[in-house]
Amino acid sequence: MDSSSLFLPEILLIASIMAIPALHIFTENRRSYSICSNVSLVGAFIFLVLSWYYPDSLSMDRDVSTYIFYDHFKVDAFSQLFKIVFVLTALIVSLVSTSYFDESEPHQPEYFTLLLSSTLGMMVTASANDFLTLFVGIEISAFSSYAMVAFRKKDDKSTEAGAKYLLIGAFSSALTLYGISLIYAITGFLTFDGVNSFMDGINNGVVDGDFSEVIFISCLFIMAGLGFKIAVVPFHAWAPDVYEGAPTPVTTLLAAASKAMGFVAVFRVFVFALDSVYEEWELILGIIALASMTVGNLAAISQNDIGRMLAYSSIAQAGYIMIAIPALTSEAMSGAIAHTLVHAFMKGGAFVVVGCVGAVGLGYSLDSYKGLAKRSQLLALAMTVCLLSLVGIPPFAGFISKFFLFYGTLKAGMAGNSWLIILVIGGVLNSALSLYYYLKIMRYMYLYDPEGSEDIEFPNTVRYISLGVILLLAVFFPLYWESLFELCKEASAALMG
Amino acid sequence: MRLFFALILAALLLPAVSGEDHTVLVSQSADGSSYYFEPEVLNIEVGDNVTFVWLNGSHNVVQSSDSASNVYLAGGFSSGVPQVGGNWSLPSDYTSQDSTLYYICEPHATMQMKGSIIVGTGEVPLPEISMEFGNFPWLSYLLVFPLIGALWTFGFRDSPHAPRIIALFTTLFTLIISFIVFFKTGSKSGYSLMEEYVWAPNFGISLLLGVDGLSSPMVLLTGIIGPLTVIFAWHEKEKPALFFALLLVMQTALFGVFITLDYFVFYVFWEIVLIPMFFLIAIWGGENRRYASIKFFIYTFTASVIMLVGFMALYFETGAETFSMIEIAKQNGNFSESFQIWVFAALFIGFAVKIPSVPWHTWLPDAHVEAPTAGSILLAGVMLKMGLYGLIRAALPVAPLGAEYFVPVMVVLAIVSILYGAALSLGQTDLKKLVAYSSVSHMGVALLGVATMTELGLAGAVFMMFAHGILSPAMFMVAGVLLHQVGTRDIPKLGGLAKHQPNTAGVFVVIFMGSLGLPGMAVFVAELSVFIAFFESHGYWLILPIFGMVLTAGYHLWALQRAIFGEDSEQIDIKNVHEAPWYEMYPMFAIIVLAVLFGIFPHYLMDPITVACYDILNFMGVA
Repeated sequence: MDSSSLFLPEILLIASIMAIPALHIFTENRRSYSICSNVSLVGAFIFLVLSWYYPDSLSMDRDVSTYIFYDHFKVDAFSQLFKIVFVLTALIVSLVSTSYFDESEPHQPEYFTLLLSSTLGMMVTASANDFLTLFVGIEISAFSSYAMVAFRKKDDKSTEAGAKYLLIGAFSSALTLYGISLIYAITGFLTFDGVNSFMDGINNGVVDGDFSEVIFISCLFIMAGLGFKIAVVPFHAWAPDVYEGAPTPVTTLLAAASKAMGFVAVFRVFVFALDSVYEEWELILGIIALASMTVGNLAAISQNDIGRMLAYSSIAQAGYIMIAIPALTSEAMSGAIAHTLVHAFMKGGAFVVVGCVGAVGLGYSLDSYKGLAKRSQLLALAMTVCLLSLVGIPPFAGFISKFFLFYGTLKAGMAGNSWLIILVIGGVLNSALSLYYYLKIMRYMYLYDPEGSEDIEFPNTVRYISLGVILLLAVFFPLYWESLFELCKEASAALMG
Repeated sequence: MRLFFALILAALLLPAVSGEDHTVLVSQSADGSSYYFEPEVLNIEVGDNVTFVWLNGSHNVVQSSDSASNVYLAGGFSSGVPQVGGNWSLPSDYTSQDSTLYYICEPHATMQMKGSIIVGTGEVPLPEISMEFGNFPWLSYLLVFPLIGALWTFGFRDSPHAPRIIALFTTLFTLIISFIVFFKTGSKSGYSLMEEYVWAPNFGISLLLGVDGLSSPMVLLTGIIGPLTVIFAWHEKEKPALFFALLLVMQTALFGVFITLDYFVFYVFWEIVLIPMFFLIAIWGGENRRYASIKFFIYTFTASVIMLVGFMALYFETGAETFSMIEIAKQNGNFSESFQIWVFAALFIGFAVKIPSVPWHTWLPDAHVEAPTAGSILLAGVMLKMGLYGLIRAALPVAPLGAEYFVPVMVVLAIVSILYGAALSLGQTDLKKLVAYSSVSHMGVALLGVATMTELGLAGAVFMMFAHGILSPAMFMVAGVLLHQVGTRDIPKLGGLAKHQPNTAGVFVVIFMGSLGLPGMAVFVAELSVFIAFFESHGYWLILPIFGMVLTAGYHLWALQRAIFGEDSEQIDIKNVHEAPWYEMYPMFAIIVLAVLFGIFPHYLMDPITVACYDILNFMGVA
């Protein structure tokens, strides 16, 4: 097959994006939209998994990147791994949405279209091989999610969150774009390879001139712009409001997939394109990482809304992942990739439960979790596994990935960059700090009696997904973590070139 | 000891070779500004004789563990108290094999009055650690059976009786296996019954199981406590299936901590222990259970993540790509002193919280008071032992210099724990809180034993862990029986129980006596060994821990007098007080039998422990 067939997953999504509005003309049946979106996502998922295990039949080589569209689109182990995560998360969101929105909810075809286009944007970002494609990918995803956040236009919180997200998102895109333009101005390249070789040239003395200030400023701008996407301190202020205000399936997408996309962009830009000028940016990233985890964890402690609490926990988790980037070793990057992946599942799983509890009318405050274990053992267990995993308590998946992350960074720290050890110790102490608010949720679920009726019917879809999340986080990853590590190692090798 | 006999035997069998004679001058400059041995480093052949010749000043010559150490190595060569004049000859068995002897003059060690004798090729050959792989997976059975039992109880969660019967059956079965493990280990040197299951070859992580004389008593203890807990909680009415399932999961995790020889897996089990304990306190606890469970979890988790950083630092420092405790301990010679100090500090924080040593003990009284009796039994009986076990197994062998550096800290913490714990116990009115503080005090004694870094001290500490591990559950059972039979465990409200439940009160008295260290019961043996070792290493400072023992006797007897004897209390319904039921009496009785057995025949336990402690000290290069 021609190598442009590697674009097939995206084509599937595009087809669906066009098909759903068309379907709307013929039928009012809302099941048809979700079926259409699910089919395309499952198709994309199957294709991606096949491309991972049988690369030869697709004229792709897992060890070497394959370029399509005149080198603007890069398919490698790193992009495929993240695309699998994006598609899987979108599939979960799509499944949950059918039970979250009831029959009377208007604009459902638009919702599924936006969900798919947001996913498409993420996939483009994962495969971007130049700054422009990267930017376009991020924007496709972002614009779709602005509309999704404000999807319930009669709901004040939802529209407020949408407006806030749009304004801050637009602002951050502008910052990123300005940073990119500075890079283009000094290097004359937009492709990552070009920028990378130019920066190497500066280091080797092939390129004359002192660009360190310009590079520093452009790094600062790009980091500020992408920092909004991954919600790290001090660019995090939007996250709690948006996570609280948006419909929960949308929050799931933002917390699980959109955050991972932000990290994909950060990895591509800093770990690949700008890696040889790391002296300019390593300190900024280190400080952001430390500030993020501390501020995120401290702020989460006093939250009463579960969405806000998990938003702050996401900010903290982003801080953990960031500590690996200044380390710039393949082991630290594997750890960062592993934690980004696992974070998508554990945060996604937690939000699925949150959405389900909200959808049956219990509400979103912490009090509504009182006695959840008496109402549904399965949901409470799924939440517990996700939360313990977020803390990083063995044997759950979060511990394994956090171990990779700290392992790689500590190794780099002990090999020379000794300031990284401070980051690791900060991360470790923060994990202990975070235990408090996660335990608070667990305590509410198990130790209190429910207010109101115990007999509440929870939708079956959510129960199956919870079971899946439990199996994934508590059984599959812990048992086969060596294979997880192998995947991440391969991805980081592809990323770092 | 055995090495010593072996050396004597070797000396007898070797043909008598008269070695060359050497002298070392013991001297100081006239103005007292420098003190030295001359020559500072002496190279001799195996079998040579060395004599220390006094020149001037008041000195002695004692052996130290290495060139950096300033303290006398217990059991090593010593010329006695500092004296003026005379010659001291080194006994021939010190020069009968390749080794390096470091020695100091005790009064002037800080003035660098040190020297060394290199015998033959020098450097003591590393001790060969025997690793015996079993042909039957006994240890995996210990891990797997309670887990199967837990799932099984959960399968019968609607039945009122099935969970406890299954739990009892499972724990009795694991008790049998732990007895088998204990006897199969015997008092051999090195690790036996080893098993290895590779988990993550890239990181050098595997499920490496093995027991030695240090872990086999702990395995036995966990095995014994298991069925006792189940029997004692026989009439648990609230969610019995979940309760017994958590107890069994807890047992698996505790076994895991005690039998694994891989740092990573050790950490995993160490943390898994927290989860069932958290739920046991949080769901079945007393009034203030929510606060207590969270405090417990956060305290211990914070400490253990610091410990994890220590483990990872060790892993990277060896560069051998393995988490195996044995492999890493073999490399301890390559670790610099400052590295060892940092690592030991990180590990010590992790372990000290679990011990718990003052000032990190505050989670314990809360957790104990709020936990259900069965939870307290496991907590006091087995979980508190994890801290000291970890210290001896995971911290001492890899960081001997760090440990030596922290000896003063450990001694001070231990003595403060003993005195402070005992003093607080005196002031408690809640019997459970009294037992909790007495645990702090007792574990202080064990920490003191570890801090002596001698064979006897370590062995006493491990013996204390076992003795306290069976007697403090008995104390909690007393508190549980009182709460159950009388309705309160508030000491001032009790009184006159002996008249109304004479048999039960008799059992109480024996348990209290055992716990305060009555000769003939297990705690006494441990305390005696620790105090002898401490006297040998630190002299008359012993008066402080001994004073703690006086307090210990005081609070035990005073509590007994107020609660069991005396006038009938007005505040309780004394007429309705009956003997404790069988399921409460039998466990207490079983514990008394064990405490007396190991009190009168301590060698059943002491032999394997001593051999294992010798191995550990050997790893540290102290023995």
